[in-house]
Amino acid sequence: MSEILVDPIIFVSLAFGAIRSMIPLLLGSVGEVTLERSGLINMGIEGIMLMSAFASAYGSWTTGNPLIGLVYGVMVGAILGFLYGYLSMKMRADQVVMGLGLTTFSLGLTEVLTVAVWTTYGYGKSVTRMPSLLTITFGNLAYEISAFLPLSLAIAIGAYYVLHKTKYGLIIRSCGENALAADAAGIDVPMVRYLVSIFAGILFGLAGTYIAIDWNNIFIRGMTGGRGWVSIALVIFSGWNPLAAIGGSILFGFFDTLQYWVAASLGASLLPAQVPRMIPYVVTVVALAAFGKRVKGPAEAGKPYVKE
Amino acid sequence: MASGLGLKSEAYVQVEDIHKIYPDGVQALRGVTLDFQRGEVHGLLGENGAGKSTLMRILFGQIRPTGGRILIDGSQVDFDSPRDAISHRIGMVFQHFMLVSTFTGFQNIMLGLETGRGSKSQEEVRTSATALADRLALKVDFDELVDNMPMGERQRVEILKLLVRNVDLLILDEPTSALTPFETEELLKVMRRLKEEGKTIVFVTHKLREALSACDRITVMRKGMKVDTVTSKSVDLRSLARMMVGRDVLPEMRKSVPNFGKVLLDVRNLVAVSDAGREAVRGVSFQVREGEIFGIAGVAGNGQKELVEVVTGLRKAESGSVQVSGMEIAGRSPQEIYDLGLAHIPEDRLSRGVVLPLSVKDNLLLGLQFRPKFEHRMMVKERAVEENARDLIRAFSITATEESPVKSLSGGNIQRVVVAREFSKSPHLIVASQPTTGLDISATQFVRGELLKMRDEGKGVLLVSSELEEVMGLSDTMAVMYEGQFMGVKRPEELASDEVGLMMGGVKVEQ
Amino acid sequence: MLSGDRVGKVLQSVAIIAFGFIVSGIIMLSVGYDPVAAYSAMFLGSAEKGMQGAFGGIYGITSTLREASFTILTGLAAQVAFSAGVFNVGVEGAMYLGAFVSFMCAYIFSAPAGSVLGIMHALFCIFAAMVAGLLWMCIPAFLKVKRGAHEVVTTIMLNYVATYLTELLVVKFFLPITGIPPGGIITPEISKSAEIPQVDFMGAKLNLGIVPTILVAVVMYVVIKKSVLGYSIRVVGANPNAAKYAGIDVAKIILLVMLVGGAMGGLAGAIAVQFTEYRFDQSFSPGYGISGIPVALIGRLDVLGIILAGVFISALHVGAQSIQPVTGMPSQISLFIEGVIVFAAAMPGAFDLLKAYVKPKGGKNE
Repeated sequence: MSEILVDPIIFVSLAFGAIRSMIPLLLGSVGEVTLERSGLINMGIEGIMLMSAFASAYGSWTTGNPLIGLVYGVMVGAILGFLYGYLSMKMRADQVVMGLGLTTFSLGLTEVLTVAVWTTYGYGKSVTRMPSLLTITFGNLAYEISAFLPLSLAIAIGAYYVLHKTKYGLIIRSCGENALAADAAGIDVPMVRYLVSIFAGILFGLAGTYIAIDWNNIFIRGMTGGRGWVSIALVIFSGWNPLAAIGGSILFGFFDTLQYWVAASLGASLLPAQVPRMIPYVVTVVALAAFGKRVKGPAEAGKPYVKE
Repeated sequence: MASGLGLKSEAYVQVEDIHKIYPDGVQALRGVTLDFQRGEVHGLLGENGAGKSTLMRILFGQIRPTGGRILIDGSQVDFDSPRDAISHRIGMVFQHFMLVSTFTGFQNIMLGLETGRGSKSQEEVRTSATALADRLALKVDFDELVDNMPMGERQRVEILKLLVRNVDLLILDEPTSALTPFETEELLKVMRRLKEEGKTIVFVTHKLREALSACDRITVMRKGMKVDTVTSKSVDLRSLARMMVGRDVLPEMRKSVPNFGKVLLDVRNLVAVSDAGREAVRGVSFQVREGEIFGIAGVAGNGQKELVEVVTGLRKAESGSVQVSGMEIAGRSPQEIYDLGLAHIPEDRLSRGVVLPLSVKDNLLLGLQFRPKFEHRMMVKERAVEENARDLIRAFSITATEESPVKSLSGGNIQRVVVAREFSKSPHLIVASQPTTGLDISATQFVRGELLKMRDEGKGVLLVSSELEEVMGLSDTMAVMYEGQFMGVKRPEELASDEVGLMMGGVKVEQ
Repeated sequence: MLSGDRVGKVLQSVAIIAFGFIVSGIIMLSVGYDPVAAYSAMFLGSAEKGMQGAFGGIYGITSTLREASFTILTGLAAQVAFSAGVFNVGVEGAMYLGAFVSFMCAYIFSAPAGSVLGIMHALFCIFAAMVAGLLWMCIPAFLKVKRGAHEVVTTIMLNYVATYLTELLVVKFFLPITGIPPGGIITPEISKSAEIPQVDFMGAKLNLGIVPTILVAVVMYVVIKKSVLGYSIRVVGANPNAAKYAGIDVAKIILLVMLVGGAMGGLAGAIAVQFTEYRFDQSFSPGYGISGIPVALIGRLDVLGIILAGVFISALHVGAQSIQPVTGMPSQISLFIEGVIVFAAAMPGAFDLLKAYVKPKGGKNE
């Protein structure tokens, strides 16, 4: 393994891979951090990401323009995010069960729609990819940097700034810490939560879009690969702090990319292919084990707020 | 008692004939009329259930009245929400502060201020808040987390919150309940300064001395009605107490001659601390004997809750001893204490007393499921459980079948289930905490009757209630609890009503 | 058996299922498929295409019953956890571990088939599988109780880990023997002594996995409804505060329900290996573990309901296999319908609304 650190090409490869993997995790976790700060929990991130992935692929497919795909993906994310928040609050829906339902539903629906649209089972046809922002060459290898990278970093930093440095952030966080006090201060708690649900949904949509038409150029069954769940763990791991989420998602991204690298280069002789694939999940469990109870999240997260 | 003060033309805020009837029939306010002037500290005095908090919450726009109106400077106003009230310059500081403890003082002050175009920036708000704080000598560390602030400082943040929003009438609901004596003094000074600026303070309290020393005028309320409005100069503690409690406190609930036996509960010098870390029980000693009902009266929040929690094993005492049937209970779990023969009718029956989704018969089994009567080789003896349920339903007149889910029962029936279950444990000592809150007349009479029955059968009852009639009517011996101490332990017949009022308001009565 | 409360529960389940079918039907229509054709293909099959659907013929019925063992077991595992207020989504992982351990015990050891020793061998493998599932579940269970780690995320993550882990072991040790198979990653066959053969039944083969499944269901029924332990579990699920008050050790109960779920998952794995495939096939589970949740939700935490719901969901899966050849829609349509059903089950608020609408005189007894 020491070759990794010594060989600059492999190191750079891994670094870029980590960045690629980091992006959806960062978007997912920042969205969920903001949402939980306002007092809701979304357990259906995986489902929303997958549906957005499909929508973006579809958009790019029908119009040939990946930017339209982006629009579709983001819209689907926003709608589902809002729906989730609405059902949680108005219908007092159980947030965990709904999340599981949404995820299963998305798995099934995307399959059906894949066949409907592309007449193939399990994967679609290639679509036009998002153009990359710039390309860096290292020796004789070229690495693309996606526009999503500065976008997601900006969103993370922006979210941190708004949450912790502005009046609006105070309002959001008060809904999550003490909804009664927020209400007594005249804040419309449900409205705040609706707006944040939409915002989080947009971020989840961006993550799904990225996976489908930026990282790849095709929709494949289950291509989100558990990243929605990892985002939830990242929220805890980062202590509900968008800036810390950047670090956390790079770390998790590194583990995620390790599997591709191993599969691509060395194969079973060094490590069986399954081991690196397991790593992100194992790391998530370890993170939850280490941080599960100690970190205190927003007090109201997950508890429905019923107006007296 | 002159009440012709405050001619209508000088009145700033008036409430006229305010009624409040809740959907379940409870009459919280039965036509209250009073007025507040500019530049006055107006006390609102009364015990639990008098209606003072309800009235103020109506004034603050949190509750809608079912009748009557509110006038500001002569014109009627209608409040839809606290935001409305604040925009009309009326604000309220609640007994349990509505602050976000993980925010700083300044952030809490900022919270909810108008955002968007034309609103003040953070710097502007900070400047005006600092100016206000300086002028009124309200010491607040703007950048300290509320969690780390002492109670007095938190209260000042709440007050600043209102002042920054240009509130002219500040309602303070039981403001000294969480303060140390020093902080109380500081608060009274702040109130005086605000008054000098022409603000109006409504000081809601049950503490007689404070009302007298801090207020210009005092309105006494009882049972949802106004008793009178007086100037503080024209009354003394005793007359206030009499107004608060009423001449007609009826101790006449049929009791047989007392016949006390062994000591069942022995509490000595008990000191306990509340969740917030303050001393809630400050050296209390008493005994409950067989065949005796020992009642603890007093406005809620004076340490009764913590006292009961120690006795029932839910809270550790800081010092002192508690013995049930001669056994020290320190370190024992609630279950172990029950095994010593204690039963508990808890204050929050819905969260601790019953399991709502389960059936009546399952609830009647709670805590008894390991007893040989109901268990055989790890299996539940269904028939025994059903018979038990049917017997108890009959004996305690529960309007439900054994299969009904408890969540569909009325409050009165739920309490019957709790009482039935606890009594079926054949306890020696029963601790009943606020046993009739929220119950209708028949359920209330039922519970009281059952407690008396237990007493007549030679059991001991520790009754904790903020309803004075109840304590005076049922107890053989009673104490009044105020700020963690007993103000006096006597037989109810020996207490004149104004003495009780004095004790509840914080004045010790000679033994 | 039949009480007002039960009827209400059944109606709720029927409503949830109906909702699932209606919404799915609408979506199918909007995408251009015929829902009626799809549903009839699912349940009745289509003679011309040679598919039987779930109930359209003896092959269909036996397939449905075979799948039902898995759905019922995972449903029971989810149900026992729900009863205590715990979300156990990790049965899938326990299944894989159980299946693998069952395979190893069945492959490595052998005895004369049909002899007493042989029967003991088979039982031993089943037992080992259950222990494996239980041990696997210890991870998320202890993490939840000791560290407060949310069981949904940990169990889902561990599911992925379990599938990769078992795949790794199979590839490492058995691929050299079987070569790269066209059917996916599988192992050689197990010893005959560990096999539980399928029985001839009206021209088709009936899988006996349903037998231990029903046994477990009966045991679960007895325990949850009639034992003191079951009572404690129900109290913990409904009100952990009151449970503590009543002397119940809440942490112990949480651990117990999760571990039992693990054991049940292990049993399901053993059924896959010893009753069905007679080898370890990496792809044996199309997500049974996850299906446990809709089964438990439809079954409304009632053992009889779980059995019926298990059969229903299994019919959904089996029928879905017929959909593809008949209508062209992918078989994953069943996932979609399941998802909608879970969604519907998540909303008690919707039911209260419905109830208030139907019975305007809502009120409490007095």
